[in-house]
Amino acid sequence: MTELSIPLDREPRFVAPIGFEPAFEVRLDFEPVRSEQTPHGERRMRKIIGGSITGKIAGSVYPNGGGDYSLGRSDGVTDLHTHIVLRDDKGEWLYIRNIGYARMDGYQRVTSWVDADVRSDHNWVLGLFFVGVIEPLGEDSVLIRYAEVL
Amino acid sequence: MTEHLSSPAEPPVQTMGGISYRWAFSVSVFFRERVMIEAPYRRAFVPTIGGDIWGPRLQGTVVPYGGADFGGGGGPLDAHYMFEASDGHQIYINNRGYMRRVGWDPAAALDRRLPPRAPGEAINQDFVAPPDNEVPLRMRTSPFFDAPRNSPHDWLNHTLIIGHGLRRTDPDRTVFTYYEVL
Repeated sequence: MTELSIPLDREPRFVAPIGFEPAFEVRLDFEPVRSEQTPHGERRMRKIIGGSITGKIAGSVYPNGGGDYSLGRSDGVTDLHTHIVLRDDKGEWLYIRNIGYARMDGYQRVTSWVDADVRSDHNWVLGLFFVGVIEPLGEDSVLIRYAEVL
Repeated sequence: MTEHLSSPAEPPVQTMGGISYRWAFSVSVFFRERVMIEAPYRRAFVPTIGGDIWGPRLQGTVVPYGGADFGGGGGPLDAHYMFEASDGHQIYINNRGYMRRVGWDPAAALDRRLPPRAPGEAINQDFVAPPDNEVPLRMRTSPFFDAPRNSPHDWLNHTLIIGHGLRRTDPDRTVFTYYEVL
């Protein structure tokens, strides 16, 4: 398939740069985990019952209805699936979706995207990706440091 | 990161905004058909006719017509297709992404006008995706892979990857530069 390979594209100068800029930090507080073995693996369900957001967006995590529905895989890696609803200090609603991996070696990284009202102060988040680095804060809380992908 | 030992052949680790990352590989994906299905939530179908994979951590080809971008037109990309690594292993990619036009007003995405359509009239699908030098885009993707477990590609199963997409034409293709997030 020589026509589907352009030698020019392979030149080192076309290794396009990306970057990251700190955006916000989210603390999530969970209820204790509820786990079940399912055909997909071990589904670990946790209600999000509180938390906060600081940085370029300031507010709190809505404590009713957000959740983490991670999947423990047979290779020891956990697929992370988290749905977070927040309100800023003026009451504006935001939604954050996280997908990513938690590994046995402590690596916990998620790709995230955020929905906000197009008319709000937060509309800069629309159409962007964020990367989150997750640090455990005790048994039932985590801190997620989000950086915008530039 | 014990499994990501540096060697002279590997590109340098970069750190910005608290994130460490490193170029892993690049992929050129070639296109021919572009079909827009004007559903209430607009759907675009753009199959890949093939492509090329190169770089420090993965080499191979994009399987011809092994899948497509099935995402929302103008909205999030949601591509499903296949890689064949140079060692013969098959790899599934789900590439999710955003294309944000430079200077875009998010509110402009709320409403769209459809041209009228006479009964029985076929839709003109002859739309183009312009190259980046005509319509600058910030195209970033976050691919998730299913790769064979007992293979050199297992790292794709548990490493967050961020891609940079660049639209190019003549021929119609997108060049993705993929970074592993360390």
